[in-house]
Amino acid sequence: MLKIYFGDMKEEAVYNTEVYFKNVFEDHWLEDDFAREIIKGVDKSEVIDTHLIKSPVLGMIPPTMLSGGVKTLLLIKNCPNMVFNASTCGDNCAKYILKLAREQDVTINLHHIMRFNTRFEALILNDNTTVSNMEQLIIASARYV
Amino acid sequence: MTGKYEIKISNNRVSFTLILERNISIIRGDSATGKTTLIGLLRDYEQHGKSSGVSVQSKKPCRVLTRDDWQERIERIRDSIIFIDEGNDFVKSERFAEVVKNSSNYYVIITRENLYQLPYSVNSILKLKTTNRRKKTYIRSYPLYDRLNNPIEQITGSDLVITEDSNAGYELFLSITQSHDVACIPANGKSNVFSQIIDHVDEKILAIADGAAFGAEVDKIYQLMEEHPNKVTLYLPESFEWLILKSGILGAQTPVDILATPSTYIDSSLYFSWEQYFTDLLIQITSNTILRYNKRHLNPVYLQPANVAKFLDAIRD
Repeated sequence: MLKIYFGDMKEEAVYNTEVYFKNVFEDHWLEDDFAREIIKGVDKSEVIDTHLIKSPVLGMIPPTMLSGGVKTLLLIKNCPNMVFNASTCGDNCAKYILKLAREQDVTINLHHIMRFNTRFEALILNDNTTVSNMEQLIIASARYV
Repeated sequence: MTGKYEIKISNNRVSFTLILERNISIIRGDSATGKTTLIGLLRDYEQHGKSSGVSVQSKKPCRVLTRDDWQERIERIRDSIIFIDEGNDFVKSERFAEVVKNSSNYYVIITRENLYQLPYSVNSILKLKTTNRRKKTYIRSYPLYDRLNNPIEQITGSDLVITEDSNAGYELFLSITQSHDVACIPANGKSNVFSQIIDHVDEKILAIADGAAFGAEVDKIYQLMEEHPNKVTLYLPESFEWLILKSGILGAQTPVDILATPSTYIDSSLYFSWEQYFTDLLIQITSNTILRYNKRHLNPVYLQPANVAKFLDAIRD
């Protein structure tokens, strides 16, 4: 199930996911299929090994040079008890958040309206309403972001 | 600071070109379009200069602000272009808005969040787009939002026109819509435009707002337009006063040079947004004339048929 809190969560969510990723990343995060899929799908890059990614733009890069969106997706996957600012993810990350949410409970913090271009269901934690399409999400979230 | 700036930032693998002409620009868009790489190159150049291997071509110095030092540095930086990466929540603070308001700097902020305390333009919300990819990747900034085509047809073909303004602008648009049997209501401020659209979402709606300061409001409305592509549309001229200035109603007093290149004339340390500048300019040009402009109540001269026709031509352009 996808749960979304819109707006400021203070200390309850990690706002700067870039800094958090730099300090908590573990090599084995890049070993699973999901990591390879998002790195290919979002960054158009290829995992060479757990320390090295081949980017078509930047050449050989370490995991800390992945895009902000991929880093946040990896945090959501690998730190399931934490809440992360998913406004560091572009709309091209939305389908991967939904994919994770089909497999496990995912709670994210959004400071903007993310565009989910597919069928989805989400619980808006601000007022405990459930939305199942973009129009409902836009109307439910507009007052918070 | 005044002016329009083309900035080129590159290393041996990637080259960015940004066009900036206002005090506040926002960069957003999909992940992996190069936003963080851009900031990384600028940070390397700021710390190590040419020995970083990064090339920065810019008529003004480019600086990168971080969460740790922004308050300390921002007061000292003058006539520069300041970049701020995603993840810096101080950009939402009132303190930051106060500093930007009277600043001689231009600001480029990477964020998907709506910064309500900053009056940024819809036209200065940018996306980065890869334009060429051979041995080197070329990335360029483009406006994120498209302009509305055929605004006149949208006005006359709507069931309802919603104006951001409740005073002079509303009065003129009311006069135009009445002659086409279209309803027109004021939203009483930009923050109410979205809720007014929601209240009437079953009708064919055109919302009109001042694009020069509507940046923080536009995303949610565009998202709604995606859901109702033929029902909800937005017309975002710079401002109502800009339309009057552009219309030719002022005759020989029309500030042609200013309208051609506003950034050459609008000083960021004096004007928080272009909207305020155009209002002041219109008031100044028309003072002591029959066309004396009052934002609170429209001077009836502007409602004369010949002037309304000129105003419509300005919308049509």
